[in-house]
Amino acid sequence: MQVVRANSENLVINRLPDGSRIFTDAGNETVFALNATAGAAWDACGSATTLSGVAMEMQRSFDPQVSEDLAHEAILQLQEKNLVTTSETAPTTTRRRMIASLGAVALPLVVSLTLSDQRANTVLASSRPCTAASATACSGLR
Amino acid sequence: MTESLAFAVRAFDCTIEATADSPETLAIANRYVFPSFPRMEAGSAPPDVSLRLEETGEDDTGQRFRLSKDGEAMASAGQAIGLVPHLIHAIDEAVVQRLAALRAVHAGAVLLNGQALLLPGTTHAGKSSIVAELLRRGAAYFSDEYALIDARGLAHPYPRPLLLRNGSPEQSPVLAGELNARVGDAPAPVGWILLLEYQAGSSWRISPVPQSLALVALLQNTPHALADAPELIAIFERAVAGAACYAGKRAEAADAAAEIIRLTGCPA
Repeated sequence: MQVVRANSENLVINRLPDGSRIFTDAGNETVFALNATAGAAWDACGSATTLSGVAMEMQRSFDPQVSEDLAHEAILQLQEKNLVTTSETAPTTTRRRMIASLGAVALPLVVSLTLSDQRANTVLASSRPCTAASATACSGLR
Repeated sequence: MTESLAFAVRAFDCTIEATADSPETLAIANRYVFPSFPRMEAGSAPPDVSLRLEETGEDDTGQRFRLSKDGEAMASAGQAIGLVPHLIHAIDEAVVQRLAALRAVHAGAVLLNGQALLLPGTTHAGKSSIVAELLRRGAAYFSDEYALIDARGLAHPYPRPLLLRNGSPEQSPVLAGELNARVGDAPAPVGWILLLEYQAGSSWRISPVPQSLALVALLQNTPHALADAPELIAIFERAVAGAACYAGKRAEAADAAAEIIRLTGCPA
């Protein structure tokens, strides 16, 4: 399977002290959060490569325990967020089996937040009175 | 016409003017408008927001006191104290809209061993209840509503009165001092960010999460739109850079506070 970074010229990438990453895609108005495992997979895709190449690079630069299955899962997550393109798509049954077989290295994680969703959340993040009517929706207020 | 009693408070980038029509309503305003901030003479600076507490006489619904904002009635109540949650939310709105350098995160915040602990969450997430329990266990008070983050990523206190429900549907104002807690008076680095979800009957189950995920959580809990304030990423990046970040389930506030104290290693 060939793996190529997508849209990387539009990304602003920030690496945090724990190895996780924040990608800001101004063109698509989206922020991505990658954990260290997914970030290592992204790094490994620096040039057009194969899945085996990604796994080997992750073993070298991130953790020797990275398996090809783990690298594959990371690539699939990056692909789902359109951060990489691949020459083939793994069937979901294969993917489920892969996830079940992953080892000690933290599972890759890629989450995204669009600017429109972020803007919508600003309303919820504003101070509002907790009235008797709205209190029925309250949780955990003991 | 009754005599107008008034004072002003400079809170961050907002000048708040409070007026009242009696010593009783003035005392309420004075007690609950950023009580730890110094008072100024009303009129010494043009107010950004003017709030007035007054007794209007009992109307046909039994309400006797009224709160007005910039001359427009916004709430009424049978007792003056019943207007305080509305007063506090009106101030929150005015202050957050006018923040110049600081950026707000909707979060409970306390100070533990010189570091800020943030509990991002929406209204009704239980931030105030956990903050109150942490104060009872020795934490210093930053806020039950907003953590203000500066360009260096430091968290600043936003020491409004806590609004607690105490088993009632309505919120009641409580001062940090009533919980024997000190109010933080200086910015602090963020030491912990906890993304907690209440689940009745749940045990405490949290796991470490990447700092990048915590940053996204801060973006999801800020009243500022990223499209209008792109500097949020850099500011929040500095805030999370020194933080241990966790996410998971919690049960009751008292249990959660005890677990938080254990997690942070800070003595109660």
